[in-house]
Amino acid sequence: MEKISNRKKQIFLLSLSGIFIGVLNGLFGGGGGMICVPLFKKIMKADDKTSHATTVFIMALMSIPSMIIYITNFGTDVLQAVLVSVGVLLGGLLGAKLLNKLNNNVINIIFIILMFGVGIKMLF
Amino acid sequence: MFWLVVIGFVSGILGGMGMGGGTLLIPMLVWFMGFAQQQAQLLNLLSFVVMAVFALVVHFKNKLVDVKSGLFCGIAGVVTSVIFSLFVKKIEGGILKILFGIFLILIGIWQLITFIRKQKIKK
Repeated sequence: MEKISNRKKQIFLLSLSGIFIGVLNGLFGGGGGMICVPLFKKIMKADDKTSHATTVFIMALMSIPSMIIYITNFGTDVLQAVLVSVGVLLGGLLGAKLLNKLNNNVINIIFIILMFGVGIKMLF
Repeated sequence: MFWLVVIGFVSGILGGMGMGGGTLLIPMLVWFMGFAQQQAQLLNLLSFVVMAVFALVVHFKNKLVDVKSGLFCGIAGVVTSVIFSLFVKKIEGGILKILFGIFLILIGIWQLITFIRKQKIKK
């Protein structure tokens, strides 16, 4: 009986998280993944790899319809889309490799500084 | 145009390191390339989907994806994502930019708190 109610709790929390992450994905077109990874990890007590991989899956599910809506509403330049996508792909490959080599604390600090710096600049 | 690849590349590196690449791609597109907030967000979604397709091939091969749990979260999210994506059309670009900025700051605060807590635990 324990296992059943645990799973139900997980499903509830997953759905609730999904609702919130969906708001971010729709409203901002990004940032959902950053919330999803730690949430998934906590709810499922999963390891890092599973949390990251499943998050990509979850965010892909949400991003496809929102992407379609954005394109319908705002239109996009195909060339621009291709160029950015290629860049992101290549960068992602390098980033995944670099991840192993950098100190976790360094990564965290850089990220925090970036968030504040960029966030504040956006206000003006 | 070449700069689009560079900006994508830089944010891709950060994204690849799990640092939320999109959150940097969008501001960079807005500041350095003069894109409207909505366009930048669109390009972020698009490039993410492209990258996700490739990444997922690997992740599924390695059996790292918890599909069932992912579906519960993802499908719930699709509902709100669709609603809010439609809503974006009604928000003025400048306001959306500010909201996004506040969002980033909140993330920064949250990360900072988590970081400080981790340091305390170490001691």
